[in-house]
Amino acid sequence: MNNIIEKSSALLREKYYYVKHKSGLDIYVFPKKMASTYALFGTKYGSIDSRFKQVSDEDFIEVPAGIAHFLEHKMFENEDGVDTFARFAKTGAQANAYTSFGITAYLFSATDKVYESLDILLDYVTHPYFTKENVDKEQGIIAQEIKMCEDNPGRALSFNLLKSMYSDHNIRIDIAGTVESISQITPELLYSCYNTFYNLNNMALCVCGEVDIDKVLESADRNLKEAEPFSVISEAKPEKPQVDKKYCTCKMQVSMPMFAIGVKDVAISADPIERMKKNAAISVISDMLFGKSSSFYNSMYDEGIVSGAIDLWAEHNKSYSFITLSGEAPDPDVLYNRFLELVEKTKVTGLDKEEFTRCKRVMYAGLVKSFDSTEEIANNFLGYVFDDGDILEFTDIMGNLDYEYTNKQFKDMFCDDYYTLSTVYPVDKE
Amino acid sequence: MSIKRFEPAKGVFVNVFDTPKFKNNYLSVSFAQPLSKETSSMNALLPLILTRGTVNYPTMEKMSAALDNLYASTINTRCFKKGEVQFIGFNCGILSNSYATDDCDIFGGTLDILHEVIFKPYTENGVFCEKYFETEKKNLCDRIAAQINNKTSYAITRANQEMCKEESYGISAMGDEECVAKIDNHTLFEHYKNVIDTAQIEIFFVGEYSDEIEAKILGALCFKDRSPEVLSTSVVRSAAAVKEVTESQNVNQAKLSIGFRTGKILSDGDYYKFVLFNEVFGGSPTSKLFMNVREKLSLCYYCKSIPEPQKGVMIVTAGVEESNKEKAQNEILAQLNDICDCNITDEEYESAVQSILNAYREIDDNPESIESWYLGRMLSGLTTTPAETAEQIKSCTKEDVADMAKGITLDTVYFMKPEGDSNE
Repeated sequence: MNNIIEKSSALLREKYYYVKHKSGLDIYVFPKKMASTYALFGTKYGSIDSRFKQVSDEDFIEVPAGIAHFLEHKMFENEDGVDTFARFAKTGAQANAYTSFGITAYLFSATDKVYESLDILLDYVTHPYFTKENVDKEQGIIAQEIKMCEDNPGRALSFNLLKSMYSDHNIRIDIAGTVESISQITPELLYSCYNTFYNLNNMALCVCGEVDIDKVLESADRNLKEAEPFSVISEAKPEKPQVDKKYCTCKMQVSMPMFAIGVKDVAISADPIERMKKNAAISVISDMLFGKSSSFYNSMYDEGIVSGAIDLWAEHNKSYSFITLSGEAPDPDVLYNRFLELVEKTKVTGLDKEEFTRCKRVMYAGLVKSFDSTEEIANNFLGYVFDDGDILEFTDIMGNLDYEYTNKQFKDMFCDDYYTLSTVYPVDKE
Repeated sequence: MSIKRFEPAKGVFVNVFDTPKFKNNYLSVSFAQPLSKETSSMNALLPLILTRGTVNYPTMEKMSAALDNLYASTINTRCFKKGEVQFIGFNCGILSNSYATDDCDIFGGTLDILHEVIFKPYTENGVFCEKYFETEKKNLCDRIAAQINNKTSYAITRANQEMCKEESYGISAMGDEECVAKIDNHTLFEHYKNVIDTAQIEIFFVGEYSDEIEAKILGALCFKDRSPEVLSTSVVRSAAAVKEVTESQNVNQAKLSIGFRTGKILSDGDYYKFVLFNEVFGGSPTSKLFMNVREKLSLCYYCKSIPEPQKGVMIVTAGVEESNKEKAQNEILAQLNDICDCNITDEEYESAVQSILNAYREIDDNPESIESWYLGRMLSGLTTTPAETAEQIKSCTKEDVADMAKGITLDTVYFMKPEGDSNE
């Protein structure tokens, strides 16, 4: 009855099965001989979906910042009063959930009673239960989560960076919201978000572990009802290529200044294959220029301009694209100037071909290594699926990445107007 | 998975976990020594200097490039403590040779570099390269100072320090800035030679094992016989008077960390009962602390208990509003008393059992979890597997859990509060 599609990669020696379930849900089963099975049930809905409407509606609804994350917390509440964690506890499964810019996902890992746990997962995520009382209760808890995050300098650094990079994009909105914004959340607003985005046609299930696909499908049959067609418009504001601000800074209790340099990119293709290709390219570019083997990083470290590692983050998906590098530096301005020098110099010389080959190899190895954990597989998998991509196809695309294309991406992406610097200085430093 | 532990040279131990399930081989080398004020800072500095350069890879850049060519093999430095034992060393992630797209011997190549890192440091005039020495001293000081950046873990560390002020356990495995600043290159180099020759060596391999792999490990990690110092941890079974420590920091959220003496350590033989107690108390999202302090009273986002099996201490930690400190502390202690009175529902108890059994079965999926499990057992003279301990957990009763709670005493209350008025 179900049409099972199998896809595999000879290089990775991995395969998965895909089924479009009659309920509308995309189901992916990734067989893996591990003790732990990891299941991830996600919706394409995150903090950036702050203004939306059904196609047939006249007006957009605007919702308070942090509501997707608040909703995620509240899904753990059930009508019979039994907390979701308590339901999972009976099977021993470890349950959790997370909210990002574009995804809300619910998950468990289990070594036993996997299908019982899957029943619970599919059931609770499809049965919201919001009341005035349980919403009020959560406001206290999330307010403490927000305060905890406010004391995290790394988080301040990267959120300030995103706010400087983007002028209008909803990525500017803090995922957890603010104490003030979450106080506006009501059960009605939660239901409105839930009913809009938690539509099985807008969701996916990925199960990775030693599982039987037929039993996964039986669980889906038991728990899921056919969903209405999904026809929602989530407002995406046009974003200019230039950064909003070149520089932003704040003071916190840190031992040494922290820096984050962002390189903004708005050249995003509508074609998922092209996006995967560019994604591979920008990862290789950032590793070549700033990675631990780069002459830039090694000089910065040797000269004491950077302390410890430089962390790299390269993102490219249909909603946003950027490269960031961050770390600790006694004087972030010195580091930033060296960054500018390096980029200008490389624009003249072009990327180094030998380094290109080496960094491609590093990327291949990193990808193979990521298939040693059911958690990592499922999370990476969902990330690609929600961007209309495919992790196994990505492997081939990455393998075929050529130097000329990569060098061109580098030249297009690195331009003065696209850089921003975010810093966190110690409180006592003037 | 088949397991073997052998001693190729006296005081040098190889722990092998042979399993085909990973694409990546895991290899670690740890030097285990008593944690002491005199040596902890020098020990912490050693792995950092050793990975700066070797005879054949004199710069970090050259070494990184060589590792990249070995399919991104990693050699990470490590420095941590278990009880009053300091471990320093390296762990490596090495892609299995069968995933090489050419005939590269990834494992052999990585082991060659690891051999150099340990035995052939880049030296000048018979000591470490002065520049590397000075840079890494500074970097270590920076790292020690940077602990303040993460307020959640800092509050836990501070509670442990205050509780064990007079004991070795109060010493940081990272050393302290004052001691690091005093280290001179010559002394450090002598210390290095001493560590290589005398520390207890624990080597872990997790992956697909063979005679060839064994030969490469023993060839590269060719340590000679030694008689290492005994690795022990002094234990204070119950607290005397309660210490209160309050500090002000520039933060939005206050942190409460409560330190207890548990009265129980891993080598007691029935520590599994304590593991179960901890799960009921504050080890999971169905624990009493989570369900009451967070869910019922909405006082915090996180509230959990973190035990140390070698030292017999436990920290309960939560991020709260400053004004809710007493309320949170009272509730935490009330939950502990509840367990003493055996007020444990069937659901709470069963959830805890299932959660532990699940966590024990998951250990096999992660090389570092495997290593951590067996390093802990080694220090306590035990060889029990997670599966065997799971059987012991199944044999426990609620009364066992209550008995564990009764042996716990409150030692130190550490409170980090926001400076002045946080609203301006």
